[in-house]
Amino acid sequence: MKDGKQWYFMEEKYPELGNLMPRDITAREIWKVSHESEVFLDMTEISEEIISNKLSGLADDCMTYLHKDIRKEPVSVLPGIHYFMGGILVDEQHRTPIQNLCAAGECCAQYHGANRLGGNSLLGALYGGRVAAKSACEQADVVDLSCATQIDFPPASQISEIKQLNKVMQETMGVVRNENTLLNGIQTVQALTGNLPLLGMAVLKSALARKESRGAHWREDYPKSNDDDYLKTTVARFDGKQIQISFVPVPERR
Amino acid sequence: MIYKIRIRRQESQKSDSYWQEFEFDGSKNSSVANVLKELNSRTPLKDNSGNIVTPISWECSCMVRKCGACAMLINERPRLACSTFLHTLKGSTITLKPLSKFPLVRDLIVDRSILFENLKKLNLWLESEAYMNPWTHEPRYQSARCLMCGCCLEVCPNFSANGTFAGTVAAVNAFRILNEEQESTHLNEISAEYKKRFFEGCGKSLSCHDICPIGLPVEELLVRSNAAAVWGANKMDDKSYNECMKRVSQNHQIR
Repeated sequence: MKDGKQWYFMEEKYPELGNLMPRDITAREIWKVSHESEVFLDMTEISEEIISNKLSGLADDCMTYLHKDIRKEPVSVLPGIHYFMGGILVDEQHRTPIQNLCAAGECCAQYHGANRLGGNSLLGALYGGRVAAKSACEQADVVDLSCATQIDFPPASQISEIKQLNKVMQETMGVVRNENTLLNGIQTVQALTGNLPLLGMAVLKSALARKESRGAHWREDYPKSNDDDYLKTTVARFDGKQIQISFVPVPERR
Repeated sequence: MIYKIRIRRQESQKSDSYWQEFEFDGSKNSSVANVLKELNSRTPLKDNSGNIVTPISWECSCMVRKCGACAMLINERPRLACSTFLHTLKGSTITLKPLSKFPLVRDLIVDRSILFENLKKLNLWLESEAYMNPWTHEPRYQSARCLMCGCCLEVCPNFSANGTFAGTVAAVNAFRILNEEQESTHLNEISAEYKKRFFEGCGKSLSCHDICPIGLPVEELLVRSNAAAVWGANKMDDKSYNECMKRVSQNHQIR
C-alpha cells in the first residue's frame, strides 16, 4: 500500500515482465518494500476457471491455513526459503567425494548455479534420480558396500541453540547480505554446538568468501557480479575441526 | 483459550506407556501441530504436575497436509496434526496417541514402513513407458496424491501389520500403475498380487473413504483398481472403459 492505495510496484518498476521477473529480483523488491509497508499478492483478477482447474489446491490451502479467499482479497506475503541451490557436491554421475555415496535431488548441488529457474527442480528429481541410481548400481557391483568412511559428528544441538541459530541465519543469510553481519553471524555460530551450527558455519563462510553478487546471493557491499574472480563453485569442507572454503572451476560448456 | 493436552508417551516399544498432561493457552485456530511445536519449544518443558519432562517425539514435515508425516490419534481418530484445528474438536481436553496399527518407535512416532513394503510386494512400478490415457488423467492424478499417512489402515477392520492384506493404501496407489503399465506380463503379476493382497481381504466397510484426511475419492479408486486388476477391464478400449467407470462411480457417493 502507498498513500492509502494499492501500489503494484513490480508492474510499475518492470513494465515488461511485472511480477514474472526472476525470483531473486522479485524477492529483493518485496524485501525492500516490506520495510515500508506490508506486501500482498493480489490474485483476485484470476479467472474462476483457472482457479478451479489449476489453483484449487492453493485456494484450498489459503482458506484452511490463512482463512483467506484468494478470489476476494490479496494475501500477505514475505520472501521465505523455497529451495537450496547448494548442497552435497556431486559429479556428472551424481557421485559424491565419499566412495559408494551418491546423492540426487535438492540435497545435492550440480546444475542450478546461483539461481535455480522456475520448474527446474524437476531436473534434479528425474534426471538426477535416474543417474544416481545408475551410478549406485554400477558401484555396488564393483566395491564392497561395507567400507564407508566414518566421520564423528558432534551430538545434536539443544533447542535453545537451534533457536539462536535460526535467528542468526535469518538475519545474516537473508535476501540482502553484507560483510559485517556475516562476520557477526560467524562469531555467534562459532559458540554453538551440534550438527546444524556446523552446516550454518559452512553456509556463512561460503557467503563471506564470495565477494560479489550472483543470483540469490546478493551482497550490498559487492552489488555486481565478478566473473573474473568468482565464476566458480564455492566448496566447503569439514576436516574434523574446521570448515575450509575453496573454489573449483565450473565445467566447460559442451 | 486454555486447553488440557493429554499425551500418551512411551520411550521405546519395549517400555511401558504412561500419560502426561500439559496446559496449552492459545488460539482455538491453532492446529494440533502448532500445539506440539509450542510445547517442545518450552525450555524446560514441564507437565501439569510441575515435573520437567523430555520434549515430545513426533513426526512432521510440511505442516500443510502434503506429506502425511504427522498422522496420529487425536481424540481417538486418526488425523493429520497439521490440519486438525482445536476449534473443530469437542471440549477443551485434547488426547494424543500414536497410531495403534503400526509398531511404536517412541511417543507419537510409529514405524509405517509396512506401507511401502506392501507396495513393493504388489509390484507397483512400471516395466514399460507409462501409457498416459487422457480419459483417466483425473483418477490417475488422485491416485498419485496419496500421502501414505496410514489413517485408512488405522480404521480398517481387516488390516493388521502381521497379515497379508495390504489395505486401501495399496488399492489407491495401484490404480495409476494398473492403468499405465503396458508390459502385459508385468500387468498380470501386479493383478495377481492385487487379488491376493487386496481384493481377497477387503470387506468393503469403506471407513477408509470417510477418514482420508485429504478427501481422496477412495471408493472410486477402489472400484477402478478392482475393475482393472480383477475384472480385466483394461481389455476395453479407453473411451468405453472410462465411460463405464463414470457410470459405476456415479452410483457411489463420491466426495
